[in-house]
Amino acid sequence: MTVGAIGCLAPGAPWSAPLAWVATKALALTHGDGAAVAIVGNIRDMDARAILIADGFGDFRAAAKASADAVVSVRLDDVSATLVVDGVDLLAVPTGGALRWDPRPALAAAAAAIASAAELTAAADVIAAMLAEGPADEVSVHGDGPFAVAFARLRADEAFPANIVGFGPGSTPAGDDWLAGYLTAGDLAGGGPGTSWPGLRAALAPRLGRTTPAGRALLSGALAGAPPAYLADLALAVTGLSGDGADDGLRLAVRAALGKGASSGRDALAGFLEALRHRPKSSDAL
Amino acid sequence: MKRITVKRGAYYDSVFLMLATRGLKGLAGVRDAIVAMATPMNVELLCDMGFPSAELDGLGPNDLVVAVDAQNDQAAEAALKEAFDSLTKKRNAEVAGGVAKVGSFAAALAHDPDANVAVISVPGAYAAREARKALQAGLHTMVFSDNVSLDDEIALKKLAVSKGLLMMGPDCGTAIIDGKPLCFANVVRRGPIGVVAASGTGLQETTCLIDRYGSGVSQAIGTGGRDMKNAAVGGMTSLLAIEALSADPSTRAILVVGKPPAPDVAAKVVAALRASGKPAVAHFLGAPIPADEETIAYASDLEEAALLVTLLADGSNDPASARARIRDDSGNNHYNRPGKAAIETIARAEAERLGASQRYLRGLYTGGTLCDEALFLAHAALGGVRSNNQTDPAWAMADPQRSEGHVVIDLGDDFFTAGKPHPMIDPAARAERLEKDGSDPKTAVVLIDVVLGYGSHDDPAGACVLAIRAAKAAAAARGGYLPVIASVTGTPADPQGYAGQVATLEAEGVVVMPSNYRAALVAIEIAKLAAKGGAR
Repeated sequence: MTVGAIGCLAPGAPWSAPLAWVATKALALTHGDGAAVAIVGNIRDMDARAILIADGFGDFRAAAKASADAVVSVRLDDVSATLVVDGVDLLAVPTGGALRWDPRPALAAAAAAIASAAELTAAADVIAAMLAEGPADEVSVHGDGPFAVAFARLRADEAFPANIVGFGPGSTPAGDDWLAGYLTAGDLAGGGPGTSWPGLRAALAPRLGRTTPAGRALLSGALAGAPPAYLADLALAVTGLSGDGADDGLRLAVRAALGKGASSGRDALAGFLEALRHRPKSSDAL
Repeated sequence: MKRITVKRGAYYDSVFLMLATRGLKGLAGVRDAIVAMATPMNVELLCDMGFPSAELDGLGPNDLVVAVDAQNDQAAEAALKEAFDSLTKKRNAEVAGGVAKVGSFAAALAHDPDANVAVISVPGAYAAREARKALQAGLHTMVFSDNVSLDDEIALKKLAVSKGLLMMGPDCGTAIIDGKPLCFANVVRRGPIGVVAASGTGLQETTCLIDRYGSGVSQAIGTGGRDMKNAAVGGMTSLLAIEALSADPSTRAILVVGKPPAPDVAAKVVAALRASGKPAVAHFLGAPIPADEETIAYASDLEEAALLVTLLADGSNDPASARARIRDDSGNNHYNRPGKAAIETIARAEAERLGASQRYLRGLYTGGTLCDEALFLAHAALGGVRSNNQTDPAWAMADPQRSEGHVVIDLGDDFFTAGKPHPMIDPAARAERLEKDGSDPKTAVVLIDVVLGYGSHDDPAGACVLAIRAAKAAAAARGGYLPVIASVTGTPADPQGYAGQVATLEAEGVVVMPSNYRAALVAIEIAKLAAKGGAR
């Protein structure tokens, strides 16, 4: 069992953070800086503040879950990530050789490789068609539930989309997912990681306290141009799309996104699509 | 009536919050429900919706709020209690590592005196005794265990019927009761369709397809494989289940799925469906398909069964109008049922690069009913398929470990699982067989099922990846190509996630069809083309 990678925005060691919840693919910690840190077992689930346990994640997860009646935390220092239960070190995973996970160089190359607006339009068409295939999720910002109605109202407001931080269902509110997709596609179309929509970025930064720790972690990464792996994969899959049918990679990336969380992937795809359809200009779009 | 309850400093993952919301929305008298973190934007939304703002004051993004809009006080109170219970139970389950550990049935009952269903999963020799205790205590009972004697089953079912209780099983692997998946079951929407099934993966496949077609399940009641098949058992549980669904106001249409019943039992089941006063669909795998009746449609496969009952629950009051709606959809593909031409196109594309020696279909199944569905189709279409599930002795496998000619195998059969976990729990044995059969130069196509849901492996598609790569590489090294065809039985809300599992398979070049039925048709078509020397 080793730590295989550490996200590029993970807080520098040493630190300790309490366990917030245990899900199938990740453990969430609430770090003292207000944003979550995830521990994951698959590179496909990485994000900028996550720690990847390359092998043995299942054992780590099981140990954390079985100890959930105690005070459980994870401590990261220079040599290991340690599961601590009631003040006692239960399981230490060495960090020697851990890679720094950072999608930004690849995303920068992808943005530079976009040859024409037609590529982005073709990608938007594929994503729109695939989003239309599935049933609208009743608890996302889609469908006709109260969140969807309110989302339509927020969209009409001049503060949109900065006004949807922390809005919607989920431990990562749907509005945050939407914004992460929007920023990622904006960066792809508008000059590279962390560069698009500067006015929106300036408006979002002070609003991060209005969302959950998980939402804050997600938005911190997206603002820095380092979205979660599934969104980075989606952006990379757009590159080189010719519109002549060679879109299998994009379809796979969209399908993988649709499988994320309860509605996270679907909401992020909606934001991604919106940005592809209304691409940033060289000046701020706000 | 708008009411709110709050849990401060409470964290739950998004899937749990979604399920909690769905659960509340399905309760009687509940108009709408929101389970969300109390971020400023969500608090503002709740205030705008008319929820009492005083109760929302001082909340922050780390607090969980449950808001219910109900028709009256009583419904609101019940919904809030349900929400609180489910949130507390989640915590308690986590506290105990997922299971409240007790040492006996009496202790279990004492731990939760309000329980009204018992799930028995102990060695078969002890299962009847435990089931009897549960029935005598007035609990509906699901017996997951197999190896319960026929005499015990009959006695238990008579006891259950006398008390008006459901005795599901023995060897009952799946059920969904009041929205709660039991044992191997998927997370499907709640809705107007009641299911009675004498087959585990048959129940899973149909309920998942019902969910995909946009409808949902009121109750899905497993009966155990012998309930309808064995004349002495006489369909006791099936008949009681149909009676219960007939009386259930939440159930608008009934689906019965199983292997061919004993003739007397079949007559009783059909009579019960007629008497229910509700539209119904029956599908008995491998049995002759009767003509539709006024209120009962007889489906030819699991996919058609799911679609027919969806349409019957959605305003098509009789089988004829439901079938007309299916015909009208032909070409529009609203229900994602690729037709004959599409299947032939897919098969031709896959068969194009087959090597000269590649001739045979190899179906490697983890789900017994899914295996049977593919077996019956392939046996009829290909003129003989060997299987450990074959009812035709001439085609039974002498050695299930060795594939010869066309083969469709149930790897969940006792022959393969003695002393080992079922392949839906641990797919290693299937992966091993997949690599072995896929690498056989005579294999023209591999057909697999991937079953999601509670109880199943965390990543059943991922567990096949290395074997698929190895088998495809072996075929390529010989100058051929190995088509792998799959279906995924699951829903987006399943713990494994439907879309992610499909993506994993497609990334390996697997053709993923929307149902087991369609996957089998594609594989059969490829085998036919292979017999003619491929599509070249």
